[in-house]
Amino acid sequence: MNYGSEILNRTVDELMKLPGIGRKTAQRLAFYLLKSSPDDAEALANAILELKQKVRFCKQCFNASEQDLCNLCRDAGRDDSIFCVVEEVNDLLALEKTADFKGRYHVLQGHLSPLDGIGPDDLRVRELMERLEKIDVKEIIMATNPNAEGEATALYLMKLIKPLGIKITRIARGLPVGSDLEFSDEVTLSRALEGRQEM
Amino acid sequence: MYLKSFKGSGFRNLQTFAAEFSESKNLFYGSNGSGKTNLLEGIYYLCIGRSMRESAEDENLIRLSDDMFRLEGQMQTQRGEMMVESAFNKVEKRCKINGELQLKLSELIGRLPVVSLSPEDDELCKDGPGVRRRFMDLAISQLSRNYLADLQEYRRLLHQRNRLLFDIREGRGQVASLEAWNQQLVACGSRIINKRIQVIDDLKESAGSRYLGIAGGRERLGLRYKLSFKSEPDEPVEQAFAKALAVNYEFERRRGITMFGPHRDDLEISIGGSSIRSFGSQGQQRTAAISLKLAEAEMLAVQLKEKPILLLDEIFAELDRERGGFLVDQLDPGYQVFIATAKDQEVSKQEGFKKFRIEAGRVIAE
Ligand SMILES: [Zn+2]
Repeated sequence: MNYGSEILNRTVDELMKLPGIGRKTAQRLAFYLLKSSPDDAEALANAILELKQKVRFCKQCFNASEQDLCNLCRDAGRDDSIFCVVEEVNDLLALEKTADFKGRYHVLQGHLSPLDGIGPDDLRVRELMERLEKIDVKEIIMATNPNAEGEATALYLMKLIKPLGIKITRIARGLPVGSDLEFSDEVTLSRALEGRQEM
Repeated sequence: MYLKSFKGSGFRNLQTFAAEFSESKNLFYGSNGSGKTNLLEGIYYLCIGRSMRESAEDENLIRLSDDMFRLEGQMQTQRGEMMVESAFNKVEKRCKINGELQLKLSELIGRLPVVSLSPEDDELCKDGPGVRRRFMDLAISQLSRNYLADLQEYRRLLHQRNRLLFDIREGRGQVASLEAWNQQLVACGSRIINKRIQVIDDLKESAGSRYLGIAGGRERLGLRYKLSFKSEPDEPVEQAFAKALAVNYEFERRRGITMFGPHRDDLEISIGGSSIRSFGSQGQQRTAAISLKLAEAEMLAVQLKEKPILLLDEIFAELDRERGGFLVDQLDPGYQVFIATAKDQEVSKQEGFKKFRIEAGRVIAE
């Protein structure tokens, strides 16, 4: 589509590459930016640049971090014997907000989904297994999303981890079906953690 | 439940209309193509949020000269009055109940039960298993929202598993992750199968007596749920399903597709012990289809404690006079019924009906 400006065209095209953004929304955002103050636009552009330059994924748990190890992995006060496995950093943040979980995390960076061409090798599964070999972990909580893909991911990991003799629990179905962890409120999540069941 | 008044615009070939209905029997008559079936379809759409004709997309329902359609009905249910509105403007579909926008169409299903019956239903006894699975799924979805959720989840799991099998066949997929999909497919699929078996069991007796009532004589109607995989007598469905996937892995891998499960099952309909699809006459097939639909209506009425609206399109066609007469007598009082017919001689004969003449898309109350 042509908006009468090559730069505007390019901005819309770039915005459309973001998840969940179609042409209509991209147009709205682009025109909003065009009308916004130069300071706001510059702040956004700088934040994006700095994000890419300075933020990376923790080498150990794949949480977002400005250093090799994230602040959760560096925190000596957390319990090494209990792990919580989540799909995305967002899920980790949602669980952290409840302040009920004091163990370590592992972010898979996705879930199994053959339709999207995502198999076990595309997730941080190998890294998880390497961590489990090194540390004496007593319990793993599978906090993948309660949908078909999250469940498949949990079942796959369970089969892989079972021979190691570690207790595995699945976060209880206190969450509304079809909702992603990211969106559930803190109370529901707290209850979900209390009510976890052994798989 | 009954529909007190019904308004609409832009729907199929119908001109903007507003009608007040009888809470018991209503008759739409007019020549073929006049729009009487479209009026039935409009009522169905209002209740279910889609057309009863599987091939009809919302797009096709808009009148050629219009950009959108709107339907609006005032319902009287056991739980009080309900105002239902449905609209589609080629981009967005909207449904409101008592003025409140519904975010999910599935919210509608089961609240306004409806059963439609048309000559096309003969395909239940003539065509492949797909139409019979659809019959079961639609009937049970009106009964149970959990079932509808299971169907949606099963479809998702099936797509994922089919893709994985295909990828494995092509040397791309990882066999190690297949088990994770199998477990879920079996759990979800077995819930679907068990519910269908239970519902068919419920339907069997009343469909059988309906059949005897319409056809007379001694022919017995039989219904049996047929699994797509082997199972021992009394073996739990879940166990047999899991075994089938395990034993047939090579077969499925070669095909690159899931060959077993509720998406491959069937409902066997028989008359006097022999398959109606292979051996039934036209009249038997039609009578069996009608019996099934009436049994469905009865089951919905009992379980939802709300009598569904009955939409009967051309029930006098193909049924001989005697059977057609039986059918009208068979209809329990208490159901709101809409009958559409092109047969003029039937119109004057039917008593106790509120009659509407449908003429080139115009709805005219008598
Ligand atoms: Zn970390």
